[in-house]
Amino acid sequence: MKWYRRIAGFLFIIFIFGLAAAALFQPDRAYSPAEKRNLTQFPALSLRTIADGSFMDRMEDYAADQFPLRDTFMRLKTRLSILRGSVESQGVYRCEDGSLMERFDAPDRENYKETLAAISAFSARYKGPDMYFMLVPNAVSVYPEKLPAHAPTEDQNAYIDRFYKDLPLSIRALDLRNDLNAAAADTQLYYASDHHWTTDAALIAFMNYKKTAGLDNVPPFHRSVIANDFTGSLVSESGFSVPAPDAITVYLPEEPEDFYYTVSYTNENLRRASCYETEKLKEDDKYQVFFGGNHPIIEINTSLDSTRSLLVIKDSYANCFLPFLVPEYRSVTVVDPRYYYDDIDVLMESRGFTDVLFLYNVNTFAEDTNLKTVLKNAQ
Amino acid sequence: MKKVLLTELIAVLLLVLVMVLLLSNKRTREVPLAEVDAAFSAGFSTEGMEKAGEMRFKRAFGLNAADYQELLYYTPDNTMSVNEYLLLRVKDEAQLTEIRAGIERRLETQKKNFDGYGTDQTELLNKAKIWSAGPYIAFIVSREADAQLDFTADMLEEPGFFARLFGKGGKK
Amino acid sequence: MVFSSVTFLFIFLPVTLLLYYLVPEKGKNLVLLVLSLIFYAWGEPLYVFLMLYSILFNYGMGLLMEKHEGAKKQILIFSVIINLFIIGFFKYYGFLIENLNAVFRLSLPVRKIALPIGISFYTFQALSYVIDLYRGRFKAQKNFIAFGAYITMFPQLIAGPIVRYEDIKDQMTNRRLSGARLGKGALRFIIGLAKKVLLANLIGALFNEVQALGAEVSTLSAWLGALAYTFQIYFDFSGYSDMAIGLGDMLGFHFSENFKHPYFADSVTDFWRRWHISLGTWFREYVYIPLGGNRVKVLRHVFNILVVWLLTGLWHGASWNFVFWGLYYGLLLLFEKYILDRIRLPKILRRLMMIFAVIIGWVFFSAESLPQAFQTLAAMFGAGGRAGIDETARYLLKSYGLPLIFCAFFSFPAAHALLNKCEKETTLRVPLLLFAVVLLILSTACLVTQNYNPFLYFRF
Repeated sequence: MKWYRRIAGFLFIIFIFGLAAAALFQPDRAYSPAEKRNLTQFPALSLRTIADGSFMDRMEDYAADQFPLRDTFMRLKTRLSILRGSVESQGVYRCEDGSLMERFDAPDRENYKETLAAISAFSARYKGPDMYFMLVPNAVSVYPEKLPAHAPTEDQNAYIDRFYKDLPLSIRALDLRNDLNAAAADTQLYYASDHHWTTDAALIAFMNYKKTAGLDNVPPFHRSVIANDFTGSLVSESGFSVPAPDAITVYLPEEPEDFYYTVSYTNENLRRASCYETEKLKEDDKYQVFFGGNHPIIEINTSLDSTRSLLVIKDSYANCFLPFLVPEYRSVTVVDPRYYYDDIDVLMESRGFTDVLFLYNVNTFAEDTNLKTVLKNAQ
Repeated sequence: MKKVLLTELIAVLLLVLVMVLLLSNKRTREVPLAEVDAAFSAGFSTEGMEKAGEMRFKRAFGLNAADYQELLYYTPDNTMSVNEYLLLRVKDEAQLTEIRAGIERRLETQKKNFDGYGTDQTELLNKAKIWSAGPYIAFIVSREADAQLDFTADMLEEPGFFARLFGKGGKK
Repeated sequence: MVFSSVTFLFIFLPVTLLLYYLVPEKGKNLVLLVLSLIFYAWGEPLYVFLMLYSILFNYGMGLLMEKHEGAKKQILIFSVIINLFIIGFFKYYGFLIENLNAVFRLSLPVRKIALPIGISFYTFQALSYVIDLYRGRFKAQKNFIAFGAYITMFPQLIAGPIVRYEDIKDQMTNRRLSGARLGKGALRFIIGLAKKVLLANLIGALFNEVQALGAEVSTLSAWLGALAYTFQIYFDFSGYSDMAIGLGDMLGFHFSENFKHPYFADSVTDFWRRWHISLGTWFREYVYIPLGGNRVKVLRHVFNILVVWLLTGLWHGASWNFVFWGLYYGLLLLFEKYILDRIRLPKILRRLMMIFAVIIGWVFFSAESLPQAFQTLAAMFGAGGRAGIDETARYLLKSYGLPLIFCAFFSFPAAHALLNKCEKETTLRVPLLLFAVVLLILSTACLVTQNYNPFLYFRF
């Protein structure tokens, strides 16, 4: 029995000392591409951080984050989870076909009421512009058949029904569900690896919007694929992998020769002549190719001879939808309430918008607490 | 027997001492927040944040500054920044609970806004500090959060037993 | 610090083993004491001073008792009172004040005092020392370092087993290290780590998922939740004890077993001979037997049992559901002794009754409050016209079916017997070593990526 135990002890010692030594000699990493987050660095050491225990807490984070072969151990852990029958991780489901979907959780009722009240009050305050609300369903409700068997998720259809019923009549509800469901079989409407919808889905939504908003001079578009190697946020969030990376497409309009526009990122003091930031295709989050990501406020001015100007209040689903709107308006102003700290009433009064569009996806909207704050501004 | 009783008495006194040291509240000094502000802006870079008033405070935390004794608030100066420095002095220590809740709400919202989007911001938010002693409560998001917390505490706390023991702190 | 953390396994443990093995015989207790204090201070940087007081106090009382033979009894009473005061104050003060306020409509100020980790364990060890010293079982420990090392010994400091001084006094000055013993301890440690990280944490996630469903759960989901907790607490706690015993071996100590397949018991009485054995022994030795044990009239015996189980319940935490849980077991034991034992029942039936009683017990134990426990029980017994099975239950069964089977398998003696057999058969030893290495790698993978790792027995 002795030799065998000695070997066991030897292996154990080699294992813990080996990894400890590797950790000691390996330089610390600042960023993990696999997890898309900054890794914890060696914590600040002081009498206070020791006495309140924060040094020890962060030390554990640091040791785990900088552990040798961390990415390999992470993959191993995910394998193990899949092997034992797990189809969910951090609220993300792994579907039969390998695509990932975000679960929809029961929304907070109080927040729902407050947000609704803020929207109603806002629409009552500004009777001038035509207002539209586009609440985009997520993959879980457009492709419910793909979900793992018995996987629980809240009913998005009921949520959308309820919301459109509660919305004041002065705001026109844009219901995309028929159009999206009809196209679901032939078109990939959501990225397999990311929580956003695809540009193809955004086009379907735009066609719907065009009808309701009465836009007539829509130019023909050319579809082109600009990236084939997009691995999105759901992968880094859940740790699951997808069978193949996603493609990102854009639709470029055939515009008249003399049409031009400028995109101003007011807070950043930047001005561009295009909706697309192709530099971002070299980065991890390639969805940022649309406008370089989220901005508190974007102002797009076009050479179109029109009186119509639009305000879009939105989340990131709008980013790939906005380029379709550009040729239709004299100006398009885009506000993202998550990052917008200025006074919305000043904006409304100074600009005299003819149209206001709210664009949110259900998952973000149900959790959002920023919209009500921005709309309530004056109160 | 006398010796036994004496030893027991010493044991009890020692226990009382240990318990007093472990359980006594941190004592604080009264310092006008303007003074803290002056020292703060002299000692740290305020890059990424700007001085803000009651309105911005209300917007961020959903609380009314008028309910409290004094407010010092630096808010992010552009929307891609998350740097923040909040220091409040309350009228009544019972108010600390609601403020703490407001701070935690604010922190959650900020984390949600930048989750999966801004890695640097997320890192700073995860390292955010909440500190409270006596009638003061602070909320700090910054690359220098640790140092700023030390600064705040040194400014407002009477040095504790251990700090005295190790010769740290004392009047500035 | 907890054993199932990267800082422990890859920083603290290598440093400890290195120092401990390099330092000559005489210095080992000092190394153990210092490292144990660091281990404790890592989790309780302030309360470590309370523990230091406790060491100094009990060490001093021991010396005093030996010096003043005549005042022995008075010294014993004094030190028991002080020890109980410390644990009582830090653990039960808030609970006491809250209930005094509720009953007498007072408004005494309630102050939240954080519970010092492991106070219930080390105070009980200290009590075993002074009481047994009074009984003359051994001589007082004169060496402060040896005594301090006994109280603080990091393998069992924060979650047991509760080692009585009597059982370990010789080892404090005389113990042997060897490569084979290190290996034996390492194997035991790996098994404990795997139990904790691979089984308890995983099945604990099922319990949490069911908890998050709230009151509107189907009957099957409620049962899955209760079953999950039953497994979680066993693998969590027995895994911790395995790690403690394994670490003890690595450092040359022998601790007695704390668990012996409790879910295989054939009665509740038997269950408590197999579950947290060191706590049961402690209460028997220092409460039950001094009260007269079972060699008294029936009524007095009933009283003794209920007192012991009230205290056992309270030991687990300052809350009414622990009191209820303790008394529940007291009543069950009396029921077994005075009624059930007179009826002959098939063994399988007895086992089923036992496990049923234990699962119901854990419902009270795991609940945040008594009303919540009754709410869970209502769900488990289909109250309020709820669904028996729903989609969520099917989903949970699908996601956690395999882990549940694994947990059940490793709860029974068969798994243990298999391991023993592999150790004895020369040809099976290599696969066993491989198995241990795989477990260690998988556990490390889970440790490195964990975000869920609370030890349940820390609350006590």
